[in-house]
Amino acid sequence: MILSTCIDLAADAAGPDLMARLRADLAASKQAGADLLLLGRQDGATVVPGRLDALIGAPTLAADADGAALVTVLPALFSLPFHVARALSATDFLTGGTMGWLPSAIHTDARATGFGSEYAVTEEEIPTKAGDMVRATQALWDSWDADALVIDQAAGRYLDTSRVRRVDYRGSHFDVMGPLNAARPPQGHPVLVADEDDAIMSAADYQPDVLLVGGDDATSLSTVIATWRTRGFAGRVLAKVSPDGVPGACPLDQASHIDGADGFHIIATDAPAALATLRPMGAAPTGPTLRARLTLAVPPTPIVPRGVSRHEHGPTRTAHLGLFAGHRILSRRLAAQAGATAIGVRPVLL
Amino acid sequence: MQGIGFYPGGWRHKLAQPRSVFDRSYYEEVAELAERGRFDAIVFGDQLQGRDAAGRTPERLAIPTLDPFTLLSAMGAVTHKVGLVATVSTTYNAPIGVAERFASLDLASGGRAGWNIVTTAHPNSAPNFGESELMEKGLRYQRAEEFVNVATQLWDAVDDPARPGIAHKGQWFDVEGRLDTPYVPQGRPVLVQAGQSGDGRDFAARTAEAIFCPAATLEAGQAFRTDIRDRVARAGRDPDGVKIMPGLAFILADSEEGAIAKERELLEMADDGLCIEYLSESIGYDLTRHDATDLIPIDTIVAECEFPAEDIRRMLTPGVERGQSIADYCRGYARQPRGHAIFVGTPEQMAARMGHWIKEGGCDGFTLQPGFMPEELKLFVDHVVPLLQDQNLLRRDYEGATLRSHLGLSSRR
Repeated sequence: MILSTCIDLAADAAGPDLMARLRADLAASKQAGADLLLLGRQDGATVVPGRLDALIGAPTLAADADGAALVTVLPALFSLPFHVARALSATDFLTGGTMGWLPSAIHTDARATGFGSEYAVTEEEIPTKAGDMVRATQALWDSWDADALVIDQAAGRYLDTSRVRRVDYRGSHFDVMGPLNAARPPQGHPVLVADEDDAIMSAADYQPDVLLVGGDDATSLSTVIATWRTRGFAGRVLAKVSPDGVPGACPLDQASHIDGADGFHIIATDAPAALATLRPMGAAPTGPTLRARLTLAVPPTPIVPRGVSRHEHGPTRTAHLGLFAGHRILSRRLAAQAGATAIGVRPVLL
Repeated sequence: MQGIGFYPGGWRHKLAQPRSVFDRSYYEEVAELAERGRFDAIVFGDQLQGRDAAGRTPERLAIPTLDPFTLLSAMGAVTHKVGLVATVSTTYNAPIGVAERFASLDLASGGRAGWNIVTTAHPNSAPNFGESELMEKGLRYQRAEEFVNVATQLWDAVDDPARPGIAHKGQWFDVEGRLDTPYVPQGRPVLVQAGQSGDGRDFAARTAEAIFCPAATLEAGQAFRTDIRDRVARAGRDPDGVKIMPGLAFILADSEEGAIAKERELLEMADDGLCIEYLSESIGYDLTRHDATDLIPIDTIVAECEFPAEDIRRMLTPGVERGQSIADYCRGYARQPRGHAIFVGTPEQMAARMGHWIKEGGCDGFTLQPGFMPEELKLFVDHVVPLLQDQNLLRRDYEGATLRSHLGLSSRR
């Protein structure tokens, strides 16, 4: 039985003791039996990115997690695949293959105005772009085969060059050439977690490894889980439960009546107490990597002849809102000022 | 720090640990070592492209480029004082995203974050971010300047909850908002820069608080430092508020002969195949498709490589004029990587040389580049650090807790 909960900086505190409080919260949840610690926060029943950047938080807290797996919750619409792929490759190595990630398609006005026009999307594009960010990131992990690193000091051979390749991923929103300048993560891909309430679940063919699902009581939640299974969802399902009366989460005391869940995601002001009541219901999963603990298969690297790109998403790229739309706007602006295109930047991706 | 160390063949040394650079314990040990050596900061360089040339990734070159933010965060978790400087591009990021990540690193480390601001010069970076080609250098620096300005406004607004956030409208960015991070211990991370060109130096003079540069000789260091201090003063800033820390690679041994022998051993570990791949990676042209004994095919290289033709011609022409083969030229290139000063000798000689550079105005400090990791760093900490402390050139203990205080920079709080 898998137990998860969110850990983040307190909203109401400031000053030097913030990290100490976060570490104490994390230790308490781990002690109470959490298997997955999501570095993010709850917005009602939905998991959203936290106040501490999870790509900093995960490696900072890796030692404190003491064997529990960390899951970085990050804003998919405001993240770039190359950066995310590298950061999660490194954290997966540093945590011995126990990283998860939850890309969230959250799109608040505050984020939109903070990131500005380079990152602007329409309502319809939100799931498409978020899903594309995830696929582009996974494509970069696939630019290295699992056995690419040789590291033979005597022979002077560090890697097998035939096992590293450009991917030339072309998606609806992201074009990424690759290869990544980081090896394939120990888990192949860090475990992909999603919240059912997140818009990313509307992305075409989106297939997370772990899904957090909600419902106001045990009966409705059991129905929701059965529906996902009927639709063919093959990953792990965690039922949202809460002792605090959170709409969209099942009351904690009904947890044992939920059918079909692989575990629980706890939403609680006192998460350790809730974890401690649930842990006796089932043993913690064990295994060297998070994938092994969750009995999820390691994704194979596609076998690709060199020089062939395998991520052609066809002719759907007509309205290519490339990430650096701002660059295009700027080059137009400069060209207009100069009355010519003599400026050294070429209008790209038009 | 850059992977396994300064020498391209260093990963093959029997005391090198090329596999352990994927383990957290390695970074924890190195971080503790740097803190025991009373270093101001640990700095990771970074690149935003695969290390391939024309699609072929080198086989003999160790290239474990793990993400700097990740490594520094893990290193910060086991240390209390040493600064953590991450290299981050202003060309392939958004100001609020970078400001948020540094605010988080500063918070997580208790005020030890520094930002090595780069604009990304490798042409293969562009297609990793959806662009067909690299933005022209002058524009990259224009963008960088506004980027840093926006990030600075965002950090400054954190401490002022009464402010609604920033509202910036510029040539590059329209940003309205504030960071979600509730507290940034240093106010702002320390701003570090490494630009060499006129554009780069002017940008550094206006923004940087610490500068990393190559300086192969004392005279080069003095000239660079004088030039930067002049530019800083012209920009209306205090020249003492900018610390200049050129690279210094080193190989240490009990005796000078021992150190020379060790360097020879490291150079020999870079065999012809490795040297050819090393240059291939640097110029973005796969030289392994030619016979190593061929003359340098300069015209083909210039036509096909990924860098501007004039830069590559300037670099290779001396070798062409000497009539060197590909292997001969590449061997020479791999012996003087990246134009930094290289010290080979005893701890006493190294401490004396460092003291001399400081006294003669060649620099304010050094960015040390161990020949290979972690052995050479251990030698430095155990044998050179005590000598520097005896000369009062290095603190015996940290006085403050933040990177700003280590560097003697003004507090931003």
